[in-house]
Amino acid sequence: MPSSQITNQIRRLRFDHGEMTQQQLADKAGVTRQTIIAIEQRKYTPSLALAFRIARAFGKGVEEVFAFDE
Amino acid sequence: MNRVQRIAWFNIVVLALCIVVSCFTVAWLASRKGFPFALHGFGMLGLCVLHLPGPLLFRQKRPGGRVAFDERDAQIAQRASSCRDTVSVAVLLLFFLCAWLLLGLRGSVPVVALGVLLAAAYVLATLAESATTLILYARGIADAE
Repeated sequence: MPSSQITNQIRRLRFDHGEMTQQQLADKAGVTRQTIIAIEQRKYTPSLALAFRIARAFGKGVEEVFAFDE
Repeated sequence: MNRVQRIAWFNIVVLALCIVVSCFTVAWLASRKGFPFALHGFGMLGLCVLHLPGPLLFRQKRPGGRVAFDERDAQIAQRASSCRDTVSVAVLLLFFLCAWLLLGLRGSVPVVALGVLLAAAYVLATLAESATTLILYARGIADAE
């Protein structure tokens, strides 16, 4: 199974934001719930625009949500 | 499972049945009439058009105006489409290469074989597209970086 080099804190941030559901985050970011699930499981690397939208949904910067795993 | 995956499964089932029916028909005709008459059984490949109403059977549902197709779906569709094109070209090239090797430079191919070739290329290419779609949804496309 391919795993992205881009790690993320989405799952933790969702729970920090009042246990936000994947669907709520998907609605805020303008994507499907399947895509949020895929990003959380590192099965999909989001585009830069989507990464910004997700970060903004949490009121954070992109680097606080996503990191490059070397 | 989203709409695209449902359509992909529908395509695979219909096209697999189409191949099975064609092979059975060829085998049945071969036992009755022998070759080359049995090759007419490949006409059953025409049943592959039954996969075309798939998008009508599985309509888009957008409860609450939610997003139903996003960038990930678009990427998967693009890769599946590339796979379909590759397979269709590969089948055509393979056929003509084999025809050239087996029949020689001055050989000829019956017109009916060209119809079967096009149908087979279409069926295989659509199968490849559907399989790629399902695989990419299941495995993910994290290697796209």
